Amino acid sequence: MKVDVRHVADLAKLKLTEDELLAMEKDLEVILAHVERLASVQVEGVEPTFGSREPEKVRLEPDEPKPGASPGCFLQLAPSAKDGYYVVPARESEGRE
Amino acid sequence: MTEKAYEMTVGLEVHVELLTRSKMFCRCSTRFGDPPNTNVCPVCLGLPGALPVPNLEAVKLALRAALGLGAKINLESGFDRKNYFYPDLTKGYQITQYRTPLAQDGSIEISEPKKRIRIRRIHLEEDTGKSIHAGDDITTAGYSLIDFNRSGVPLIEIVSEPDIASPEEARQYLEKLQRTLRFAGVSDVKMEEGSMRVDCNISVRPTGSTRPGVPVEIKNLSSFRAVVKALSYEFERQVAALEAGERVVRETRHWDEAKNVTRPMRAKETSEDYRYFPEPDLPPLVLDEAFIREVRDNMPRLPDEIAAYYTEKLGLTEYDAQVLTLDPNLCSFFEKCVEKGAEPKMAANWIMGEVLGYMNRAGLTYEEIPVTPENLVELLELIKAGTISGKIAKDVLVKTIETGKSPSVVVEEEGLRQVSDEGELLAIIEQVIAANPGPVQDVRNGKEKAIGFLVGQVMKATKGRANPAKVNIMLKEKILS
Amino acid sequence: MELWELSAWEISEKVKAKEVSAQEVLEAHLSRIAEVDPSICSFLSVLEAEARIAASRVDAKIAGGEDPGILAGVPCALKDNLNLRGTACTCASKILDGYISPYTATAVARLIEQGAVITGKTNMDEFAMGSSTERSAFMVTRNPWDTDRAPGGSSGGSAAAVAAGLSTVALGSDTGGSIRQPAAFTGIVGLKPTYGRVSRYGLVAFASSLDQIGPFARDVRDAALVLEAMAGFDPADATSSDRPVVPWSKRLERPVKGLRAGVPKELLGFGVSEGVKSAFYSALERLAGMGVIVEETSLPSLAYALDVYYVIAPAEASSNLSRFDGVRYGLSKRGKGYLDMYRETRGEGFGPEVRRRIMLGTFALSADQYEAYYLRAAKIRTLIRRDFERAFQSYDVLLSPTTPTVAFKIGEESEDPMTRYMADVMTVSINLAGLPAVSVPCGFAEIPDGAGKEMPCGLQIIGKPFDEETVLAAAYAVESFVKEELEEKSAQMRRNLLLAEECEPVD
Repeated sequence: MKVDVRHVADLAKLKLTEDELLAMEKDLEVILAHVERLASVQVEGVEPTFGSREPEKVRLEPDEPKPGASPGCFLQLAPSAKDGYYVVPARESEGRE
Repeated sequence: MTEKAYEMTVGLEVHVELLTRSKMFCRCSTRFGDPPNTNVCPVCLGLPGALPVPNLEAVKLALRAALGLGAKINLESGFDRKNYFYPDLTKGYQITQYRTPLAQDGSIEISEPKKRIRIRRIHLEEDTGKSIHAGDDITTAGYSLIDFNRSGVPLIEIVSEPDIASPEEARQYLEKLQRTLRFAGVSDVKMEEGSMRVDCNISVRPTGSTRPGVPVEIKNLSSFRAVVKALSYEFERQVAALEAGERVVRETRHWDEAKNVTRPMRAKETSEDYRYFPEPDLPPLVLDEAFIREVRDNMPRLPDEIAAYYTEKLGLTEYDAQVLTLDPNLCSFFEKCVEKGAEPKMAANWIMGEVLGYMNRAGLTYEEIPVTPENLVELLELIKAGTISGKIAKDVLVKTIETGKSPSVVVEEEGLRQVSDEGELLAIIEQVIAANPGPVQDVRNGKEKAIGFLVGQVMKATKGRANPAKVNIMLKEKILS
Repeated sequence: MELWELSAWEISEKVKAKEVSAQEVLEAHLSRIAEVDPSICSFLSVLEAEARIAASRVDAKIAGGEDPGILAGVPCALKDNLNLRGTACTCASKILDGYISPYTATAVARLIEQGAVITGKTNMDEFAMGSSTERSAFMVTRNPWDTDRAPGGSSGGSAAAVAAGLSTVALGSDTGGSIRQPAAFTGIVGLKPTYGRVSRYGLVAFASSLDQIGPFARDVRDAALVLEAMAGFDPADATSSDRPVVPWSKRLERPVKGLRAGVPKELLGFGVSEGVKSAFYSALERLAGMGVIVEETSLPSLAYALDVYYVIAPAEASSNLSRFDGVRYGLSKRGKGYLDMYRETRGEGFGPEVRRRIMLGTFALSADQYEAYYLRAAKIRTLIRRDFERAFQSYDVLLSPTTPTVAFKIGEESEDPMTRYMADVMTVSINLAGLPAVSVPCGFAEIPDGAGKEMPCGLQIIGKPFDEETVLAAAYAVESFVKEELEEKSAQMRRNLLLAEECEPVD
């Protein structure tokens, strides 16, 4: 299995050096070569299991608002904040996406 | 080049904020206008270790929307993660319904031309926070400020089939959708406040062609007018491109309200891979018939049903019924008047004429009807009893609105009671006859029209307080006998 | 006997009877940590001040005649992926270095309500991804039985702390064996409860459909006691079950005679070392001697468990770890625009193993690969679950060695990631099926060319969903025949620790 590691790293928003990309490509290929065995398993008509079987259905919670956080309680964790807002760099000019 | 040779196919994706008190997956308040980042908690801020728990009321409201739009409800649906990175998205994924929506296969009927626009799916999801770009251009601003108070507010997304063939049909679809959701109590559906957001998908092809056109998405539409203008613009732009032998690019475009043009945002061919997968933190959303029945039984009446009631049971015209069912507050105001004894047709006329007229001039919304049903009914009773004339009543209504005093108090205080004492009237009539020999002679000569002038003089002398019909009869008697 | 040698149930009884105060118990542990942890490196942070306040609160409750709870005064360490308000929660990652949690995990809050005294946060593989605790961004934890060896992982810090007598009990998290494997490597009891038994609210997610919080303890009763204190429905976790909590610690002596135990041959086929095999089989013989009916059985789909796990767990992890973006907390590398901020923060903040799994998971979920990888794995997960269901029609429990080998040497993990992942082969299928399983010490194995040096081995007991009761009763039976040898050797090991060299910090 060939993996376009550059594309996957872009989806995952991980900056990797050229060497890291090469090593990553090799690692993923080793793992995927092993996982390849799954392709031979007969799964026709088998329902997937995505998560827990119990509870069988999600419990819904009544619409009763709880008091908010004291201002700043979470904001103090922010790498950058201003006037009660979180601050992030704006999108850089086009071309990188 | 004739534009008739091309046709457009439009599908709409509408996001609507649900009227819950708390958020979709946590119990933070959804209150609007609070200081930034105060209605937040570990869940809606995406802190490590926090988990979502869905809101019962949000599911009920979404079901109401589904029922109101005649959609088929899926007894088992589920939540999925839509993965993408954006600064106002706290978890790096949005919880939505991808594999199976809450409901599907609904429709909305529009009237011009009469046709049914199919709705493909209605699903629940959560809103993101709000970015405020510091600087006026997204591409040049140095940084953005983010408020997560809206992060996690419940939304439904309503996706239509591409059944819409003109900007005007799109407008009708949106108006009907808005009205239905407003009546169902699902949302306040205000585009200007962001509780209703519309994205358009438009494709253009030669009329009659079986090959679908290239879909182009238009975003940043802030009003129905913008939708209409953007679709018209985009149609012309694409027709011009096709006529010039150019290729229409599959892309997302941004409506520039100030310049009335659409501009490309990002090419869809390299669009994000959202890596949808089932949300492992939430078991399936399983509903039973009893739950749906409960929602159905508590469903408010919808505009079509109400309009039918008005025409069939209350004897209003189709037009009256349509106007009164523009808004649930208006309906309830009208019905309260009728309940309190107003004659329906008369109440309808007064609401549509004077009350809405006043509201229009004053720029009031349907939530701000300036008079109480009690006062309007009292006013109508004063007219019916002959205490005041219809003309005087209009002034009384304005005074009632502006002072808050009841119509009878206004009438008494301002001395507006109609003059119906025959002796008093007779004296005035005699004065008018004496002062206007010419017109009196005209009446005697059979010029019926002249009587109007004399009635007017009497009304003037009584400052409008006389009953004109009575004045008319008395004048004729006096002159012709 | 020293206070740090007592079991949780002994401490809680003595504290309640005012034979000893919670503060004395705590101080004994804090000094033990100060003396021994430099050579074990199990704690990322020791919460001395907070613990002293907590202990004095327990003592005040007792003085005031209030019920201090079933864990009164019991020192407890937390894996550093569990949130405790006002304290660090790093997940052993640079991306959360300096992060102070503003809230407390439900399971932790319940332990505190029951009188437990939280003494610190323990080392782990970064974001619980690993089987050796060598993949911490901060330091390498040592196995107290042999400080050249790894304690296993990912909850290696918690396991080492309990084994070394630095904490009476500890919490870990288990996504594919991260409690059971280090418990086996360090000669203690580690329990992974049924999925949904313990609330995950406040546990930093690795793979949401597989993660469970569970206890480490030096005996089965303590493990049961901790489970009792923290299990049960939590409205904040939609996947938590409302099944009633059982007083497991009082149900341990249930006779095992007649208990039907199956041994899946698929869990013995993967390069299990001779030493581990022989400890396992001799434990089976002892169990048979107690009247347990032991039979070999087969669950064919377990052959695929590791592959299924290494698709599903990274897929979920890739999404769960997307929230570390440099906007709201944690490391933030501010570049030109926010895309640079994401790439640089995440590229620098995550270690190589975490990046590898994020890449693998992102790939498995990408639109072109979803069906071939994620969806297919989810279907085979169903086959695995069904195989277990079928087996549990014939057996009350299933047994296997917890690990193929005893604890390996630090730095000896293979370069090849898939070979490393093989260490999880006995444990991952249990998470895929959401079952409860315990690792209980079942004896010792000589290490190859170790000049007669022995390391502990674990026996894994797997139960039906929500049948922790049978799992724990069977573990208690196993413990009864290893107890004497284990206690003697453990006591010797703990004494030797004072002589061990200090470990070096990771560069």
